[in-house]
Amino acid sequence: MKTLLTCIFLMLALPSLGQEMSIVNDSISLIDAITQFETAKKDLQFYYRSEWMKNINIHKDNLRPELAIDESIEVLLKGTRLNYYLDGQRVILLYNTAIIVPQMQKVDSDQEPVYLDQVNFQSQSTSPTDQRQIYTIGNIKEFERGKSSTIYGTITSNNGPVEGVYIANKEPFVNAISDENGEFSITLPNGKNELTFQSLTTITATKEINLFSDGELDVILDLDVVALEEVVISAQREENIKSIQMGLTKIDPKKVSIVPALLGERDIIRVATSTPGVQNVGEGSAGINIRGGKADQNLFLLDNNTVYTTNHFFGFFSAFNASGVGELSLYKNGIPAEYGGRLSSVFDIKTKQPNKEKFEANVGLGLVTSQIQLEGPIKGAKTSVLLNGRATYSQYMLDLFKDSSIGNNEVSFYDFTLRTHTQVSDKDEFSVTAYYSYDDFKIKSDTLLSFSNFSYENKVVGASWKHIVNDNLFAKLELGYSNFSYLTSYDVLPTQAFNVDLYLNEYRSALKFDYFVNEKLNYKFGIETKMFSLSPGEISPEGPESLIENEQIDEERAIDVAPYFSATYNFSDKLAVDGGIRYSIFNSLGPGEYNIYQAGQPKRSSSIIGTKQYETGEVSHSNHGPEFRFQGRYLVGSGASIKLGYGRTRQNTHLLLNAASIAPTDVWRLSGPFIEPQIADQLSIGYFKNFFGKNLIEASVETYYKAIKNLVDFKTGAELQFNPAIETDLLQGDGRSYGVEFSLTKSTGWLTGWLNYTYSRSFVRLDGNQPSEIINGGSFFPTGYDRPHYFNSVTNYKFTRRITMTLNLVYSSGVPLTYPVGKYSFKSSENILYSNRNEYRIPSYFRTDIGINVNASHKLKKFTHSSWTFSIYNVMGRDNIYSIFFEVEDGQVNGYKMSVFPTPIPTITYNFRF
Amino acid sequence: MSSCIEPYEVEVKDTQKALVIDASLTNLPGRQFVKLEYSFSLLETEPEMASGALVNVVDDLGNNVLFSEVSPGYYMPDSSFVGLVGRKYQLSVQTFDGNEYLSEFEELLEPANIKEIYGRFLSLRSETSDGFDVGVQFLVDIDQVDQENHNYRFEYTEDYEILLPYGSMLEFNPTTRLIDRRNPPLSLCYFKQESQGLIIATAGGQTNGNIREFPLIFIAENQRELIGKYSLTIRPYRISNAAYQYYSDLKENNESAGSFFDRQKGALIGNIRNINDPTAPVLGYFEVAGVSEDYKIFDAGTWQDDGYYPDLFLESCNMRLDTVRTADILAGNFDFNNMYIYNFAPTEAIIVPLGYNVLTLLVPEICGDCRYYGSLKKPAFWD
Repeated sequence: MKTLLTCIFLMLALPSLGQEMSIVNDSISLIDAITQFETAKKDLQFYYRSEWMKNINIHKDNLRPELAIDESIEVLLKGTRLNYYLDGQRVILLYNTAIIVPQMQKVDSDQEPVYLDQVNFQSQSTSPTDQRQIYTIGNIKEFERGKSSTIYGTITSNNGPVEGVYIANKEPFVNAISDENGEFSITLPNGKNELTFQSLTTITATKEINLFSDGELDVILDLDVVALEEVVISAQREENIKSIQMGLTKIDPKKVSIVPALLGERDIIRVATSTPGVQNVGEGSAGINIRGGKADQNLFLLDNNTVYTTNHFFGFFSAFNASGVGELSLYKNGIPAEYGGRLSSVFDIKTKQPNKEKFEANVGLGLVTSQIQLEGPIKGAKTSVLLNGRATYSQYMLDLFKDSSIGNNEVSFYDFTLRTHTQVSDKDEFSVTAYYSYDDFKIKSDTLLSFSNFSYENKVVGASWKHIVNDNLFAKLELGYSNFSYLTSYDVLPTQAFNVDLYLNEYRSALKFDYFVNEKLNYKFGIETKMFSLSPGEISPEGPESLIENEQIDEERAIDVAPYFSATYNFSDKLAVDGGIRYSIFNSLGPGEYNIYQAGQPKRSSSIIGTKQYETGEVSHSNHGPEFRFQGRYLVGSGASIKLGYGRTRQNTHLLLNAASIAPTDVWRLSGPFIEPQIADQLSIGYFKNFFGKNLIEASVETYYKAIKNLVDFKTGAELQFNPAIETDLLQGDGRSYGVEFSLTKSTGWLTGWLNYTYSRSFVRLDGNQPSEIINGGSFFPTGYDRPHYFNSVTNYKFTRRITMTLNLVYSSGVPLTYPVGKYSFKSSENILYSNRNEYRIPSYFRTDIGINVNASHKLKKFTHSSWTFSIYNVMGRDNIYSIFFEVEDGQVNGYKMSVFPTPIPTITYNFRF
Repeated sequence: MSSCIEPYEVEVKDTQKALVIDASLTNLPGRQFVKLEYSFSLLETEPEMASGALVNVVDDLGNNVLFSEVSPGYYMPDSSFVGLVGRKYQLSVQTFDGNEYLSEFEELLEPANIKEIYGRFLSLRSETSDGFDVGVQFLVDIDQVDQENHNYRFEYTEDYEILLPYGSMLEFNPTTRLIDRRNPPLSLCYFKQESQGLIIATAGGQTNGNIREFPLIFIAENQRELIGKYSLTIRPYRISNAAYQYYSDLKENNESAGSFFDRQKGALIGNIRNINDPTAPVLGYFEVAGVSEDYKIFDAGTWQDDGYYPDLFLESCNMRLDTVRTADILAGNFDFNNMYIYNFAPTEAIIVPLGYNVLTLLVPEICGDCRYYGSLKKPAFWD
C-alpha cells in the first residue's frame, strides 16, 4: 500500500513562454527576427529548438544586426529566457541555461559558478517518477545572488485547483497557502530551495528548485488514490503547529463522506460539529453554538456572501450540498480582519472549482434525496462550469416523522448551486456563484402559532474578479446579493386566514488587496460594504372572507461600512504574528418611525408617549467601533507550538430566537435605536504538539474566555413573530463564556480518527431597570445552550483498501431547562410555577453511529467510479431527549419528552460518477 | 418508528411557595372578589388559602373600599359596591405574615358590545387524531367600543336540557300504595355549567376592532348538550392590553407547541408587586374590567337543516322486564337494584292497584333518572 501511496505524480508544467512578454504592435516574432538576422549576417547560423521560439515576440528595435556580433545577439535575446553560446559562426541558443566557461568565470568572479551538470536541460520533459528533479524558475540572466525572488503559480489536481495547499520552504523556513483558485505566491532567496506541498487530498510532494528570478511554477499534484475516499484527515500535518491561525478548522468535503450521515445525507455542517469547541443544540437542529456563542452568532459565507438560513427542514439537513463544496474553513477565534458581522465564528464555505479538464457527472441516490452534479469546461478551457441540484423525492422521511409533533402532510426541499470560473487572462480571473434553496412543509396542528404552512428560501448571487496587479500585489473585487425570505400561512378558519412573510436583503461589495512585501511580511487590506433592507414581517389576509388587516412592520434599512487592514509578520522561524483592525460603521437609515417611551417606565404599549419619524435616507441611529484582531505563534522545540489569539467582533444583525431550535419563523432584526450592537471580546491560548515520529498524532489544548456585551435575550413569553414593537419584549445583557478544548487526531495508518473533549460554560446576566427586565434576580445564569461537557470521536478502520468502517461517538451534557417547581390556580385554571430560568437540565445525550463504506473499484482510469455507504445512525437506539416540556391538562401538570430519533436509523446510499 | 413524544414523569424538585392573587373588579354587582392562596407542590391537590389578610381597593379619587374575608382566603366588598367605568383602581393586600402587595392603578373600561352569539354545524380537523371532529361550533361576534382597546376575557354559562328517552315515568307511591305516574317524569332535566380556564380574544391586528367568529365552544355531535334545548350566556370582560398580554403569556406558560416552537417559560410579571421585596415573585393579576352579559337560546333541532340530527339514545340501557307486585314492594321483598320503573310493558301506563301482578320495564339509573345528570329546575330566563 505504501508504494501506492507514494506513487506521486508531480509535474512541473512548462512555463508558458508567451507569458513573459506583452504583445505590442511594435513586436516581431523571434523566429522572424532570427530569420531577418541571418539574412543580414549571412555567415551566421542559429541553432535552437523550435518549441523554444513558440509565441516569443521581441521589440522591433531589438533587431540590430548592424552592431557587433555579441552585442547584437544580446540585444536580440533581451527579455527572453534564451541564452546563447557562440561557437565560431554558429550561434547555439539555450533555453534558460547559461554555459559557464572559464573566461566567463573571470568576468563574474564574485559569483558562485553554475555548472552545467546543475543546469537542467530536461525541465520540459519531466518524468513523473523522477523525484530528484530540480526545477529552474525565472530567468538566469536576472539572477542576483543574495536577493530574493517571488514564485507564483497555480496548484491543480485532477479535480481542478487545490485550495489550502500548505507550501513550505525548508531553509529558510517560509510558508504560504494556496487560495481557493489554487494560486499561491512565495518569496524565497535566490538559489537552491526545497519546497514541500501538502494538502488534504493530495500526496505530499517535495521539490528542489533553482530560483533565478521571479517566475511562475504551476504544480500538478496527484490525488492520493486511496485518499480519494478514505484517508480524509491526513490534513494539516505540520500546519497545525506552524500555522499562525488558531481556532481554525478546515473541513474537506471528502471528510464528510466518512462520517456516518443522518439519513444518508452527507452534511458538511454536521461534520464541523464534530470538531472541538463546536456544539450542536440538539438532534435535528441547525443551531450551532461555538465557544458558548448563540446560534445566530455564526457567519455562514458561501463564496464570501452571507447565507442566512443554513438548513433544510428544521435543521435535519444542512442547506449545503456537500458534493458542491470545495472546502469549509471554520474560524472560532482570531477571525481574519476581512470578515466581520457576527460574534462567534465564520463558516467560510467555498464552492468547488469546476473541473477545467474534462466533463464529469456525479450522481447520488439516497433514501431521502437524490442529487446530480455536472461540471466541466465549456468552449475551450477558459471557462468551466459546475452545476448541482438536490431534491427530496421519497416518502421515507415522512414516514419517519409521521408520529411526531412535526408529523406533517407534506414536506419538500431542494437546492441548486451554480459555479463558473473564467480565466480571462493570465492576470485576471472571473467567477460567479449562484445558490438557491427552498423548503416547504405543513404542520398538522400547531395551536400556539396557528400556522399551518411554512416555506422559506435562500438566494445568493455573487461575482468576483481577481486581478494580479504584480507579483506582490493581488486585488479582488467582490459583489454579492443575499436574500432570505419566508412565508407562513394559516387557513383553517376562513375569516382568520392570513399570510405572514418576512424578507432580508443584503447587498455586498468588497475590494480586497493582498500585498506580499517580502517573505516575512504580508499585508491584507480592503473595505467591505453591506447594505441591508429587512422587512420583519408583513401580515396579509388570505382569501376574500378574511378579516385580517394588511399590516407591515416598517422595513429596516442600514448600511455597514468596514475598512480593514492586517499584517502578518514572521519575526523568525519560531515567532510569527498576525495583527489587524477592522472598523465597523453601522448606520440605520430612514424612513422609519420609532416609539418614544415614558422614561422610568417599562417599555410596553401603554408607556408609549409619542413617535419619532425619520425621512428616507436619514440616519436614525449609528454605531461604530474598532475590532482588533491579533494572533501569534511561537514554535517550541520540534513539533510543538504555543498560540495566542485575541479578537473583538461586532454584530448588527440579530436573529431573535428563544426556542431550542432555529426555526424558519425566527425573525431577523437590525441594530437600531432599540437594539444595541452585540460586541464580543475573546482571548484564547493554545498548545499544539505532534507526537510519534512522522506526525502520527496531533494533539492540542486550547482555552478561551469570551465576554459579550448586549447579548440579546427575551422576557418570559416574548412574542417575536410579527411584533411591531419588538423592544417591549427584548432584553440585552452581559454574556460570558469560557472553556478548554482537548483534541487528538491520528491521521495515518489503517486506524485513523479524532477525539475531542470540551469543557465549556456560557452565562448571561439580564439586570434591567424594571421588574420585567430582571431575570433570575439579575445574576449570571446559564444560557439555554450551556453544555459543560462535550465529547466526540470519529474512528475509521480500514479493513482493505475498499472497505472502511467508521465509528462515531457523541456525548454531551443536557441543555438547561426551566422546570416546574409548583402549581397554582388562577381564574379557574391550573398554572405551572416555574423555577428560575435555566435552573435545571435535561438528561445528557449519548449517541453511537456506525458506517461502512465500500468502493466498488479504486482504479483511477476506470470509466465510472461507484461506492456504497451503509450507515446506522444511533445504533444503540438510545432514547436521547431533545427537549422536555410541560403542559397543564385537566388541572394536572404533565411532562413530555421529545426525542427525535429514538430508534436506530439504517440508510444506504449509492454514489457513482463518470 | 415509535412516537417521538412520550410522557415524562415530572420529578418533584424544590417547591416554591408564592402568594397568588386572583382579583377582579367589574361594573356588575356581586362580581367583585379577591382570592388569596399560595402556590403548592405538584404532589398536592389543594392549595393553602391565605387567611387573615387586609384587603382594600382605592380609586383615583381616593375612595377606599374594604374587602372582608367571607370564607378562608376569599375576600369580598359590600354587595352594593360596583366599579365605575372610567375610574382607576388600585389593589392593596397585606398578608398575615406582614408582606405588603400593591397593584398598579387599572382603569375600568366600558363594557363590550355583544353583537351576536351563534352556532354552526361543521367539521373541524381533529387535534387528537387524523380525522375530523363533527359538531356545533359556537361563535361570538363583538363590536368594537372604541379605537383603543379590543381585548376580552370570556366567561360563559351553558344551560341545556337533559333528555332521557327511558326516563322513569312511574314510581311506587308509598302513601297511595299505587304504582303511579311521576310528576314530573324523570326524562327531562336541566344542566348548568360554568366555563373553565382562561378564554381570551383580541381584535388587535384586524381591519377594525370587531371580533368576528370567535370560536368559544365546540360541542361534538354525540354529546348530551345538543340533544335538546341549549342556551349560551356569555360575559366578555373588556380588559387592558397589559392584562391580555399577561393572560396570553400565562396560557403559553402552561401549553406547549411540541417543543420546536416553544417560547421561553418562566415567572411572569403581572401588575402587582411585593413592596417589601420587589424581586419576590407575585403570582396573579388584579383584573379591572367592564363586563356585559347576553345569552342566546338554541331550540332542539336548530341545525337540522344543516343535516344535524342528534342521537337521542346515547347510552345502552340494560333494561329488565320484571313482574312487580306492589305488595312485595311494600313488604320490602322487591329489590329494585337501583333501577327505575320506566313503564308497564307492553301496555299503556295505567294505575295499578294493590294486589296485582304487573309486568314492568325497569331501567338503570343512567337511563331512567335525568337527575343523575342535572336538576329538574328549569333556568329562570328560559320562560
